Amino acid sequence: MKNNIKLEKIKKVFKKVFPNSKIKKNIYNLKFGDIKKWDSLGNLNLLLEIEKEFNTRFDTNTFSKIKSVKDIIKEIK
Amino acid sequence: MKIEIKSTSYLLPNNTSWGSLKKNNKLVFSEYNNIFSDSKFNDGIQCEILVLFLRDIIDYYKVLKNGIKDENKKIQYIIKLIKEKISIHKKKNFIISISSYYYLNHLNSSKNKPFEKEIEIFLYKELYNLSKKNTNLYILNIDDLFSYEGHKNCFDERNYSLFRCRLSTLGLKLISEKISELMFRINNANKKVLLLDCDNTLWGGVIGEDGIEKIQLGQDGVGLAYIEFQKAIKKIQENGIILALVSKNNSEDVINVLEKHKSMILKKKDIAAFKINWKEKSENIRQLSKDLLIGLDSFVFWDDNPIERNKVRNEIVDVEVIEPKKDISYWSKQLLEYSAFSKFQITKEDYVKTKQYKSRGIFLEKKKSSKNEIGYLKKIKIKAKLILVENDNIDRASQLTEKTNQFNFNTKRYKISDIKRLKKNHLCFLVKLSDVYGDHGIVSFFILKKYKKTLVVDLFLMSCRIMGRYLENWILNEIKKIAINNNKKNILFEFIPTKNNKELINNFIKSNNLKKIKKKNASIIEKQNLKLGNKPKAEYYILNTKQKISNLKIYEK
Repeated sequence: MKNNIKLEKIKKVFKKVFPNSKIKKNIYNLKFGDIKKWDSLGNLNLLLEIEKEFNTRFDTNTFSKIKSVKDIIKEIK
Repeated sequence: MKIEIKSTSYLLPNNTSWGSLKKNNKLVFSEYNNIFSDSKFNDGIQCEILVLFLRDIIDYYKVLKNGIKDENKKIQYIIKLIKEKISIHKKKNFIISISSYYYLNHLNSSKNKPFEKEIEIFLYKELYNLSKKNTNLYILNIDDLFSYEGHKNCFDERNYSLFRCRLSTLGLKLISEKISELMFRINNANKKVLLLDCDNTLWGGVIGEDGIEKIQLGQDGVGLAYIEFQKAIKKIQENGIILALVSKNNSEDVINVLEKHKSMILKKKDIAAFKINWKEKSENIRQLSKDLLIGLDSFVFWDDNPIERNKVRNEIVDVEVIEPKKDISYWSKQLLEYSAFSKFQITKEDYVKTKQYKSRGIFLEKKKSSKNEIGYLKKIKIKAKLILVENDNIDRASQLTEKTNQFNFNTKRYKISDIKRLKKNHLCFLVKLSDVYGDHGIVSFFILKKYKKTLVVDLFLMSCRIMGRYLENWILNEIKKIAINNNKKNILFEFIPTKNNKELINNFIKSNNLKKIKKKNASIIEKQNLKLGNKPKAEYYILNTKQKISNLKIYEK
């Protein structure tokens, strides 16, 4: 999957998980803490939703390491 | 509704999986693993949900060391805490959802019963004992709920390691959906009537063309699938659901199958009403609603033919039209899993329901054909009797409040615990009725509150299947007698009109000449300081104890 398609989909997930937060146009450099609701609980819900959207699954080790959009893109095949 | 969720596991409060439950309710999550602490959000919580995972409670290594006894003590302690909770908060509903899922080594357990199983059996036995005694307690078995989608998809070991959540997002979603279904059923009356088509619904083929020998019923294949479907229908009928056949056919053909086909599970006696003719089904259904005196919104329609389904759907919005699965083999499962027929209490009355409705049919026919209505009613030896609400009939009293919609002044729904509380200070009466058509059992329930010079009717309802006997007049006269004995001048009725009750109650008000109190000068209500609450829709009516009540002759001995 090309990065720009991945980004598009990731953005969709951000809007779903953080419906009340403003999401930047370009989210490529976004990381944990940049959005107010992207705290540790927000991170869990975000990654679970990413898994659903991309029909994938991160193992325990990977899941606990993902802290940014770049990380997400890297881990999605 | 405001719901509080407590769990031994972390349940991801903001996750989208909770969507179905969040749609109609406000959810608050307690800190996890703090299930018995007092709520921080005590204000206005109407329902408390406990999600328990035995794996979070039981210490398996201790069991291996010390045996099962200590862990059973733990369960007993949990039961004790639940018991205390539900007895303190009687107005709150409690839903306890439990998972006792454990990793099973099938080879080890092929010879010895795993101790996990023993703990599980013990726990459920205790819980169901408790739920039998407490109407505000409901139990949801998570493992059973997950069995369809598979435990491996619903539980999630990784989520536990990462954030102490035993479930996957699918597991959360299923729990959320099931709980919202359950809450809906707690707050809404169940459906009462199943309307069934015949050809290609109760059997395969068309009776008018194939004849009794050739319809598919009983043989392996499709024939067996219809048998299984009929067994499912029979099962819900035995739990008090009324069956009616609505079929475009020659009546004799269908009756012939019911009486003569050897494989038929459903017999003529199981069917309360027949509408087998060539009229439009919607017309037949409206007529059935009038005959049975059951509101259209209590009807469920099952027909294999999509054109008939659409017609009924378009003609009568209130009737629930089932979309049957394509493959007939799945119909029995579909019907048994249909939640709108599920009941939380089944009373003695439910088992004889069909018989009662059938005799109502005969009663109506004879009444119609006799010229002198009152004379006819005197002949059928109607006997009515007041009885007090006691422990052995309190479940029926509560059931009546939950399901009576038409002759019901204010449609108050009372749980057994509510009635227990009310009967301490007020007069709670039931009415038993019998006549030549049989013993109709307990058919009416009313509650009277004494206030200075007025007797207030807090609740007055009557089961519709005995309508047409002027029993409501007899009851009104009994209420009048009670008022006079207590030196009350007036009887006050609270009427909250709904689309279901307005016709019958307005008739009653009119024929007995009850006087409406205008809201502006509701002096009687205010002067006597009746705390009736501020209900915008409520209307109030008065009967003076000097007024005469008509049609009591029927009940004279």
